[in-house]
Amino acid sequence: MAKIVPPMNFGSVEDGFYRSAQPSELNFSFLEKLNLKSIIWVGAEEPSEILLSFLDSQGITLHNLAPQVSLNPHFPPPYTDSGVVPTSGQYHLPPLPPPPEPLIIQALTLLLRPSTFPTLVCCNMGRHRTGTVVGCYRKLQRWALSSILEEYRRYAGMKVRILNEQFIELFDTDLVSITAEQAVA
Amino acid sequence: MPSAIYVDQNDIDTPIPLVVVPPINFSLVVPGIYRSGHPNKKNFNFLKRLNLKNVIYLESLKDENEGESYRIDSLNFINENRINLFEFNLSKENNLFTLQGKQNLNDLLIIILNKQNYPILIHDDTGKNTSSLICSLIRKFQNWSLTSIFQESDLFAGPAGGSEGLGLGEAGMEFIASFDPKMFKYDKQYKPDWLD
Repeated sequence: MAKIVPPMNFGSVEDGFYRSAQPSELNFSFLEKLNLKSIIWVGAEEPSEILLSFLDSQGITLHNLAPQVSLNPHFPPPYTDSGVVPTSGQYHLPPLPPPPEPLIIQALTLLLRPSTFPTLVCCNMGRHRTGTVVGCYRKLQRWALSSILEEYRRYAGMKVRILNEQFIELFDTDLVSITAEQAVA
Repeated sequence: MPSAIYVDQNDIDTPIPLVVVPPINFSLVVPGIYRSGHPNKKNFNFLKRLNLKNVIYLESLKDENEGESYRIDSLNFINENRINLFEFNLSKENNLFTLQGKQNLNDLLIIILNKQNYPILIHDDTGKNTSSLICSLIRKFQNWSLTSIFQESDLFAGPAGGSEGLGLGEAGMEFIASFDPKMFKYDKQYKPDWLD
């Protein structure tokens, strides 16, 4: 039997709630096994064409939060999650800003709807933007900040972004409203 | 249902604790199996919500010099909540290649390949070494590619990777690479949902 390959930085957040980097063709047979109902794309760039056509063929709903200017006031970003390429004469770049708050709120609102699951939250590398969404989700679950950051750093690796951690710490969970009916319906 | 964890339907009148603390290196491996480092009393509020049936401790309960080495507060929690505690000492890599070690691993896999035993928490002391090994074997059963398995273990070993002797180690990686899940016999009647 052929080996299956999960996307980079793949992880289970909860039963039916997964996180990863942008899936490539290599990962499609793995994704099929997850029986996804939706994908929440929180990357700053557009997802790849091949991913879009895969989602289309599988009937998976794509919640694409990338191109909406209202959610991403700084779109398109000057540099991407996958790395910073200094242009000539520009060697010291300021740290990347954390993902915009409206995008996080939109993602969390989707994540509190039972109809979203099973779902995969992903961005280009599955480290920072995805990690911030998961971090804020853990805040809704009242996880201790140290535990949230342990999980964030596990996936961020050597490239921890303090501004994202700060965003998670200061994120006001009251911005996301939920009722008991919504949660258990 | 993930969001049900946020508002617990059965428990809606009791106040939700302001903050819950999962054990170190806590994570969901597959539905029904969690992994972590050694829990302590700060984690009880969190662990209660998992409704655990079984806890598998991957190091030795008995320390020759100090007597019981399983933390007494965690032991009380386990007894109070009527959770079964299993001990399989697989903490030393060379244990894996002995007859006794093989028998231990065999018994352990029988437990985690039976969905009646779920939810299970598998833990060692740090959540980095032996729990990664067991988690990797689960991934072998799921037919993951080896690089993906090792990458997942590296996530838990921390930024220093295996350089502190944490993580899988050479012998562990070799063991995982040579482990053949097809040769493993278990009761198919209670086969977990994450297996094909």
